[in-house]
Amino acid sequence: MTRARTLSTPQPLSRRRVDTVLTRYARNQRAVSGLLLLTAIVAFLIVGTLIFTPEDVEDTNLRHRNAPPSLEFPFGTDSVGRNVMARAVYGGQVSLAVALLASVVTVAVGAPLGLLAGYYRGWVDSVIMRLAEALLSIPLLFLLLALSRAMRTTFADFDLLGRELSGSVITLILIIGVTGWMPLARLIRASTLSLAAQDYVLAARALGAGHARILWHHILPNTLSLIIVYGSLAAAQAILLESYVSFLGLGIQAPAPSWGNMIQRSVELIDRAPWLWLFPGGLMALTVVSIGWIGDGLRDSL
Amino acid sequence: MTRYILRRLLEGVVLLFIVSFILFALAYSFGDPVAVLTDGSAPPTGEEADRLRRALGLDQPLPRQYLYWLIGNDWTLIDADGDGDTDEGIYGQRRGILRGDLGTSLITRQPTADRIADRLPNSLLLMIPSYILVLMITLGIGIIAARRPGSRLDTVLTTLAQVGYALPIFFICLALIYVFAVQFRRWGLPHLPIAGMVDLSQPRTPGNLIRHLVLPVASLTIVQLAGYVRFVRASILDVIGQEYIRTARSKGLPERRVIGLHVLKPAALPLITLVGLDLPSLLGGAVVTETIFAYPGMGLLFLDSLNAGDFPVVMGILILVSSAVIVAQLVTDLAYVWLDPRVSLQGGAR
Repeated sequence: MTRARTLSTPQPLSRRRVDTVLTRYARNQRAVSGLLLLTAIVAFLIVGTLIFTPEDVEDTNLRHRNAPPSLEFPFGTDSVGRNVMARAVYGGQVSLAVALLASVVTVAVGAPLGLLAGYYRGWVDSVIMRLAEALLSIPLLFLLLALSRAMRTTFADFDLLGRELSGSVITLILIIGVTGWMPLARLIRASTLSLAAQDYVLAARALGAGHARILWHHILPNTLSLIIVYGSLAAAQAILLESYVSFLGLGIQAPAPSWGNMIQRSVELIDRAPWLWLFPGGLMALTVVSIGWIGDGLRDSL
Repeated sequence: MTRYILRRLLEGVVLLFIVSFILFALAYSFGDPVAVLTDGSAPPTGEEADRLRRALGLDQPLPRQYLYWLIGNDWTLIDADGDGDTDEGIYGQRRGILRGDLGTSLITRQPTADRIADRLPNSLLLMIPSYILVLMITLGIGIIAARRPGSRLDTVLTTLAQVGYALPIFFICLALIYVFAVQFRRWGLPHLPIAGMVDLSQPRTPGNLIRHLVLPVASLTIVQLAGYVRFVRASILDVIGQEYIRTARSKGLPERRVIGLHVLKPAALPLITLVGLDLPSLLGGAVVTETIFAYPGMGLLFLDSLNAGDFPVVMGILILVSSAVIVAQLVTDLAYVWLDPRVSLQGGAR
């Protein structure tokens, strides 16, 4: 699922460069449509939250079981008569939040490790890169499922913004984040290796700058574009991974819906209620496409 | 060449050890296996559970447990009666993963290796055809793109690949089932079965099996296709821009020969690496596919074992698959060196 993507030599992000990047991004048709699509999805989630209360998500109505899409229930209802649209709205928030935070964790782990490996080289580099290789040879979904099972009871359920969320939300953020850092660390390492050999870094060192200062002020800023691009692609990947793990029953647990766990039951009802998977699955696909286009657009304009 | 192969082999062994550390830590965090152990009755408790823990070496400190996990404890005396001393003549019974003992299923009490061996052929039956299809279709689309980059057909195919890249695999599976199994049946057309590997009410013919394979293989093919098409198209366009292609065309070589020999060969080489790198994700994708189609492959065995708390089977599959991935990467690396004259080993190719 991880594809090698080529990235050009990174350049620092100065204010003037941000302007040129924005201009270039705006000229890229697909990148702009990706941004519009994502905005539309987020708007749908926000407006939906204003319309549906958290009670609507759990309200069962046995007179409307497996009802097809109608004016009252635009996405239909599920096998206990819950409103699929309300669930898609609240489930989408969980899915997007998990993806976003997981990609933050990925960057927070991957970027420092890549910097350290590329800057200090030697045994630090060997240890980090061997670890990355080892983790990459364990099939990701298998690893995620096993980790999720091992951490099943690690976090207690909690309340957030008046909503009851399962502790599995935190588990998923952590495990998807922590298993995704390897490709980023490799990219950052490669770019740090070449940056650390450049004259301005030597100059900084000659002026007496310490390692921490060189890493923070002279190398990290130059890898920012890599981090932004990879971070966005990691978020798209995280949406898919969360949905797979939840679909298989080891991800986000009730009471909170997520796009993945909503589809879980739809296999049994495939001949009766196709709307059960069509709407959450479609929303998920649109989100992944839009983030992918944004990521590609950023890569081309940075 | 021999030196390079030896070095890569050594690296592979080191990698396997690091993987084994990670997996052991994972196995350890699953908790006490004795608590799950069942014979169809309740798990053992009290004195009986302690006796089992000692026999399995679970009372030992962590480094020792890792050692037992690797090479077993049948060479060492154990403290069977729990008085704090090892007992004369009573040895452990585990042989360790390095000696081919993947443990015993906590649920069925069969050797883990047997349970995996039951399911492995079924999984390969899904994977090999879908891999062959992916490679054939990818090269076909690649040739179309190479002939006329930017043509309408090229654009349509590339866009389709883009969208396919974002579709969650269960979406593909469910859509295929809905059309070819549910709707075709409603329309009175010949339809495909939804689940299982064979229809038990009918004779076990190859046709019976193939009918059940069509949809899962198609799903696995579609979900992988997108990434491959993207990749091969890019590498074909890269090759086509090279000077030697213009030379080949200008010296009057027929287009078929230019594409077949000068474009496809160098463009297809990176595919080998991709196939090797993709093995893990294919196995991962198969969990979802096998679950939806209730197909008795390794992915479903993994999920069922995980849910049942049958950790030796879970670990056995993880170890086997990770080792397979490492071996596959080694083989693709070596194949690449062998096939591509541009890779030189003198500079310590890597």
